[in-house]
Amino acid sequence: MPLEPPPRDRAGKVVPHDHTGVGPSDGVIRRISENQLVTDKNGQRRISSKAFQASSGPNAGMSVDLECSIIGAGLDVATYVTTPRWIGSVRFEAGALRQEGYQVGFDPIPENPHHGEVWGDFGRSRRRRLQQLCVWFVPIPGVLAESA
Amino acid sequence: MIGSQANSAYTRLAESAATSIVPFRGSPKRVTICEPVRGWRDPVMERMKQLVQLERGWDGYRGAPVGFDIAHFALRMLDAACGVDAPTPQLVPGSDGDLQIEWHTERGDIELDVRAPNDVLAWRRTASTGPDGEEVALTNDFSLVASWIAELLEPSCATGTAAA
Repeated sequence: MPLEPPPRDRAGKVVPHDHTGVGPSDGVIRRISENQLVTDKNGQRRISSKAFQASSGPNAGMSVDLECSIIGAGLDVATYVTTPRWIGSVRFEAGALRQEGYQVGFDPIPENPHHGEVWGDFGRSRRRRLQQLCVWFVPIPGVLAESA
Repeated sequence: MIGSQANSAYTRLAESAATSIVPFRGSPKRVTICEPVRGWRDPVMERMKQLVQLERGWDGYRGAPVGFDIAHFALRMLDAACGVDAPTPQLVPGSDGDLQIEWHTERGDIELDVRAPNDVLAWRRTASTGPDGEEVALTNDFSLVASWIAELLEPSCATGTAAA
């Protein structure tokens, strides 16, 4: 079933909200680009903390794909988040994000009708906490998800 | 095409920042001044060129290429803070066209989050800072970063002596 439309402000922008259609065990997927990888002191490749950051501007959060919305559209989630060329992605559970004080909302955009946002504190220690909470969904071989 | 023009403009500006040319009208003898060879600079320049040419949406969402102004500022900051022997940093683009500069070494980790020109969040974690590290907001004085990078190069025994 499609998600209910999100709340918007007068300018039509989605306002931060916790969407009731996204359940606690639903996946919240963040795509990871090769450009967001670094090598640690041991030569091990990892995801940089910079990959877990909100965009700037009013109402801006961290862009994600909502698993329940993709499944509701009858699509394969891994294929969807890897098309056309995005090489990897990590998965959070919405409930785990909410326990950390984040809001998980729906923000469909023309190029991605299953786009969501995570709103909250993305300070450096919080970003490292996010890295502890996620697991690979579409792994990049030889790369660890957790921070250096 | 736009990316190529931006790249050329970026290269010209970056090179002008690294070299000063002064007309000399006295003795016919040629006097040359050479820039010190900084091993980190060529790989950083190459990576910067890639990052300013990223396609919009490079992160799978609406990620912007690294801004020309941010790349230029970051390079000047590195010129100011990194000596000849500084380890080569790793550069990670942000979704907003910003940039993070990182070092991960045996002696510690440093991350410089360049959010805009003169707006840098500098963080480091070493044995002395504890697991959460320390973070400082910087604008145009990067002497602290220079000292952090210099510490990465100190022999391990120096720390032991200082701690004793």
